[in-house]
Amino acid sequence: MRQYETTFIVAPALPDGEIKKAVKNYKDILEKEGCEIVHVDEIGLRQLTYPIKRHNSGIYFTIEYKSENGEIIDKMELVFRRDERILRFLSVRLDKFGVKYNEDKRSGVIDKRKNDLAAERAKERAEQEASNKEKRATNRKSQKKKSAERAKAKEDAALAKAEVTDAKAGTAKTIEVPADVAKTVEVPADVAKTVEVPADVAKTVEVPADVAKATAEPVVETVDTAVDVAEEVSLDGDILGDLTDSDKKG
Amino acid sequence: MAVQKRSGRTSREDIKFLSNPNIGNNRKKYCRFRKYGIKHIDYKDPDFLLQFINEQGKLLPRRITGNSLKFQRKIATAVKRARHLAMLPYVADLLK
Repeated sequence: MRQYETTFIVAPALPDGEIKKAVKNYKDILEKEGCEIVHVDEIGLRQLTYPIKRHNSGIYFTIEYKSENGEIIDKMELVFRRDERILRFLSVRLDKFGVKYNEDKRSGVIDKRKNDLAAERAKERAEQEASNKEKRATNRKSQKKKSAERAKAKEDAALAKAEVTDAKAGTAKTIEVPADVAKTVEVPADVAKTVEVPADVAKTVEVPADVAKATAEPVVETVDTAVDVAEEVSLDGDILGDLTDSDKKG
Repeated sequence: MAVQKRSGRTSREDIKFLSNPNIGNNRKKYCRFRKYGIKHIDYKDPDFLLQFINEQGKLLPRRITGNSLKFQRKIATAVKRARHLAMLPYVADLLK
């Protein structure tokens, strides 16, 4: 005995009795031919995804039956074709997995498993999302920290600059620093006071970055607090790196 | 020296942040039928089959779904049967 399954769509605009009669008609045909009907499933009214015979919806039925061979299907399909009420039909032979699937579906196992699977998948997704969120949060945090550092460094630099310009004129040698690096130079307030630079000279002289290091060091050495200043004044092209570096130390 | 090293690292981190951090850690695809032990694909379940077709109602390739060949074939027949029964469209736009 092989198991088959026939799904067909009945036109929806029929009186209730007519629909039941149609289904019973096909059941009778099958039983007359010696088939064993396993199950009749009424899926019910469904919207069709495209119109069939100018109908936009239809009532779906599925009949599962066992038959010795498939000869009955030809006969039944002929009746289907002649029947005005039937919009579509499809007969399929079920393999052992299909039989099992239908049994499980009837007993409600499939729905449960489906829900389990869905839950599992949702959980997986949630976990992934959480990890992503965490990553993003840490990224954002580090970015925030960095920007805060940068802001602080800028402030410090501005302060230092102001101090330098306030210093007494003409008492010490000049520190020569290129304009872009000058922003990054961070001098603690007390140290800055000891370095005395005339404002106009510092502003006017321009030296490339690589030279600046060479020139700055000897100048700094003349001041008493030379070591501290040398450490704080980091003369490198990369502003950001210097900022974070000096900030960590500060 | 040390300054240069550090500055190099900083700039790389900056670039990393500017690009999407999720690019590159692709998760391995797998056949869900094999993984979850699904043996039969029901053509009367259009919601399930919807995962294997694109917005136009076309079948998605294995390249994207990760199905094994055996189940990709079964999916294809199931989708075609569902189309015949007007559970899935033959042609569509903005299906999802």
